[in-house]
Amino acid sequence: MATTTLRAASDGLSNPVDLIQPIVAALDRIIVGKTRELRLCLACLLARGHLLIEDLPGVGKTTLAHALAKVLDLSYQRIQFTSDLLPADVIGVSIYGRDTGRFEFHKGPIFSQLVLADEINRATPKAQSALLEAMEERQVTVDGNTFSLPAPFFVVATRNPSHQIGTFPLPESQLDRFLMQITLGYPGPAEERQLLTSGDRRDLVDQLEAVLSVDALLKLQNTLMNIHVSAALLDYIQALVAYTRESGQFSAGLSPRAAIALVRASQAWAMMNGHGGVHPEDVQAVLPSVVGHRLEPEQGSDLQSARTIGASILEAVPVA
Amino acid sequence: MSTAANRQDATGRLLWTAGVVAGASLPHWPTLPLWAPVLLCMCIAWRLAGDFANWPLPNTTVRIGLALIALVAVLGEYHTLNGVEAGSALLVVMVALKFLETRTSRDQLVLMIISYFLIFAGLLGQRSLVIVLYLLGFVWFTTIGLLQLGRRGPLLGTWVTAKLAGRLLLHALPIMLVLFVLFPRLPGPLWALPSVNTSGRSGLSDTMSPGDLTNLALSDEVAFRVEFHDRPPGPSQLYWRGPVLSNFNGRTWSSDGVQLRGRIADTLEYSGDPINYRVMLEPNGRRWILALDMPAKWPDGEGILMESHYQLIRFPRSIRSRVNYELTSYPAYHAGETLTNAQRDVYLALPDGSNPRSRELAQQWRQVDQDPAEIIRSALNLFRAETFYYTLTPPALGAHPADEFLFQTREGFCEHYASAFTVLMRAAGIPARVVTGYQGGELNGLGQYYIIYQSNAHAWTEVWLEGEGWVRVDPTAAVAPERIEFGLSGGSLAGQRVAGGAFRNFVWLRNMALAWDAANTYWNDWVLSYGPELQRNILRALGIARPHWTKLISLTVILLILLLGTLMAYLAWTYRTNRPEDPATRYFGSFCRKLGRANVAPRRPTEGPVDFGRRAIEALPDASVKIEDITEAYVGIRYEPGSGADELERLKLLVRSFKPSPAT
Repeated sequence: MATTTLRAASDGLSNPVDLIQPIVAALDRIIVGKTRELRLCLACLLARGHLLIEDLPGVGKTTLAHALAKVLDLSYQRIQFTSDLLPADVIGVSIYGRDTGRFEFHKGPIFSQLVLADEINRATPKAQSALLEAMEERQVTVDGNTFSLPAPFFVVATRNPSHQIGTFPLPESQLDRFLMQITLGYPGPAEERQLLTSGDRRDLVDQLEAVLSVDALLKLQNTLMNIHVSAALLDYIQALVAYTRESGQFSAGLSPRAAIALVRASQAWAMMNGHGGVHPEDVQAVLPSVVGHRLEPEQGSDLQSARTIGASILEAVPVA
Repeated sequence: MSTAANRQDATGRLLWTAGVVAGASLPHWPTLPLWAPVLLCMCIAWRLAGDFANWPLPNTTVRIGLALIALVAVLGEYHTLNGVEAGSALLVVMVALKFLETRTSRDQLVLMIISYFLIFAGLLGQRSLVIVLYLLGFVWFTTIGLLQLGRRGPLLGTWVTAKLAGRLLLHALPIMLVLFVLFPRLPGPLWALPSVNTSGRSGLSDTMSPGDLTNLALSDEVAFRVEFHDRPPGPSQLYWRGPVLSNFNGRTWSSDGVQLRGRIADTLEYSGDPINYRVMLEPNGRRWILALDMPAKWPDGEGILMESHYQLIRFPRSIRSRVNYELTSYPAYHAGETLTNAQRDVYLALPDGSNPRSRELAQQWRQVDQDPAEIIRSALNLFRAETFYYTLTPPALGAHPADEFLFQTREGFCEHYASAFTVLMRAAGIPARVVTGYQGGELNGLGQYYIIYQSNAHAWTEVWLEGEGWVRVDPTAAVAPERIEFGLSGGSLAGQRVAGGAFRNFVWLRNMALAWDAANTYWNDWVLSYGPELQRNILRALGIARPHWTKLISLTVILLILLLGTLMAYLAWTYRTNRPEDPATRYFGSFCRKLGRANVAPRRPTEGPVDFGRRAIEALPDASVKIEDITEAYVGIRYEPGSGADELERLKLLVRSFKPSPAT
């Protein structure tokens, strides 16, 4: 089955929905009952963004990243962020080679197609920014030499809720670099029972097979740019962005970078749903994840979670 | 949206309503019986407690009972439900009870609309600048509340809504101006309010005893304001003529009765340059119009007459609201009337046995020289030569006030001097009388007008001389000439508390008070006194010579239509430039309305078309194919690439042929 899918992907003509559906199905077996979050995660990857997962420990963040790497056949590295992590631990270090008589750069864990940055807010800002700069530039410069990061390059960062002890909060400017933030949350009772009865997650992940080639994934990422965005839809997106700036509900509105992110994420969602162009519903589906971590509710506002922030915006702006 | 957030919004709406209701009724509180504001506060507190602390709210029976009790209470207080005061009280009370029973946002909207009425009713009672500024501000506040309540979803930021409300009110501003300027005016204030209480004001009275004016000198109230059209006369000419007092009982001067004259006495001759000015009288509860000595011209048809002592009075209505009059006076005049024997007796009368020493002194002067001018000079010299003090704290005088003042205390305010001087004149055989009024005034440099305070109250003497008639003699000027030149604050009373004395030490505070007075004056002048006459003048300046009220109304209507048309055109234009009407959207809108008629819950503006189609299919499964077709066609045209006129035509036909049967 895996081979047919791979062949279908390589000819570049097949429907993106047909390519994406098996990925979701495969992941769905590992992370039970979180189809929507999994689709958002894929949308983020297809839009060439990076994903931030804010959640409590133990709800499957690591498993998700690992499973994603397996299903998409991506090279995978995990970096556990701790308070003593150094930038070199992330990007690599130049070491003097006795044999060659030269300094040689030893690539760090960031040189992977899928990087899991675990508990990113436990590291110091210096280490955080090493990762975040690499995310933005998609290259690393050490001692004057520039090294490109592999393609695709997808960072899944997790953070603990910021009220937990021993965390360095991420500044807004760095949060802006994540295309989306999602929350997995606790599973429902039925799903939890399934988790408890089925086998070990790690084994299940190891048994996973790739259902999409790297080439096919890159091609999908390119196709995404061709998803039509109509003028009416841009009106809608601009109205949404303008609302965040003018309503007085937020201490600062969405940046133009966030507006672009919203367009890309909506395109990804439209592509995953087989739409020829972006529909308002596509925007509405991704908006809470795209804006939730970028907006700070004004003091005294009753907006708390990313979900209520998104819902309040969608409730206030008419569809164009 | 979580229920907690919903609840918080509901509380926010309730608080907005409470704020608007309380604020809109606030200007009524002083005129209401005490229980009405108390009831209002209790109702608001009860309803809020119901929201915050889950207090039980009253059931229907209790509410009806309360309403009946309130109605009876208002009836008991005013014996009517008619009229401004009873009507306002009823409105406030019913608003209170309505607030108690608010449940839905519709109730709250009704309260907001009633609050506009309350605000308007606030203007029926008082129209001072402070109240009007407050109410204008509150119209804004209420509009913010209305905007907050009028929308679904969470409350908006207050500042954003405030700006929106401000813009709405600015749109209404031209309409307000047109209505204000053009709406036909009735003579007099629009609402005659006989109950407005001004009789308690202090001011001149028609009697004068020692100490009366001294008390007035401590009052900072404004008596009237005067605007001179040409160069103002010098301070020594600013004698504002009030009641003339001729009867003396040894202690108190009183009027000998007023004879209306109607026209200027033949014996009154004017000379020199006329002074044209406008007097803006504060209500004094009397009929007196204070005019510069000696008035020569006053407006016709206002019921103004000059009485036999040359005082201007308004007959028959006393002055209970602010009025403005254009007057002309001549500081140089000759009141050469001849006195009958009876009149002579009146002006020479002194009660038997009173003030014997003064009479004795006057007799001595008369024996030395019969010439009245010489006698007057002797009297003024007495005040100048002896050590008389001009003071605001004169000692109390006993049975013979003129004697005691002239020979013992020698400390007095203007009424002491005028009184003693008149007694001396009469004792010396010169007919004399006391004139009360005001002297001087403070120039308000901001408004270029004079303010005459109650503390400017003054008394002087008029003596009758053969061949010259009545001549003004001010004995105060002999003792304290600076009082006449510079006013009370001029320094003659250094160290004594004079009205406004505290202000006068802080220049900026004084300037602020003057600025506020100027603002108030313009307000009174241009807004409150905007009556038929001012309207006629303005319309004449606009080129409308003889406005009939029908003409005015049609002009108003035409202007309003033009204004509203312009506004609508402007809004339509901005709307069009922002989002050109898309034909596909129009067809889809018609499709949505058809579904609405088929009992599908209407599409919310924030609902995506596909979501709405899905919902419609759930409601009308029979029409699912058509609904899907139309939705897909619309989404295809609007959001997907490469669709042309054919698809649009197809959508049009699909929508036209779509005839859903209503959902059950």
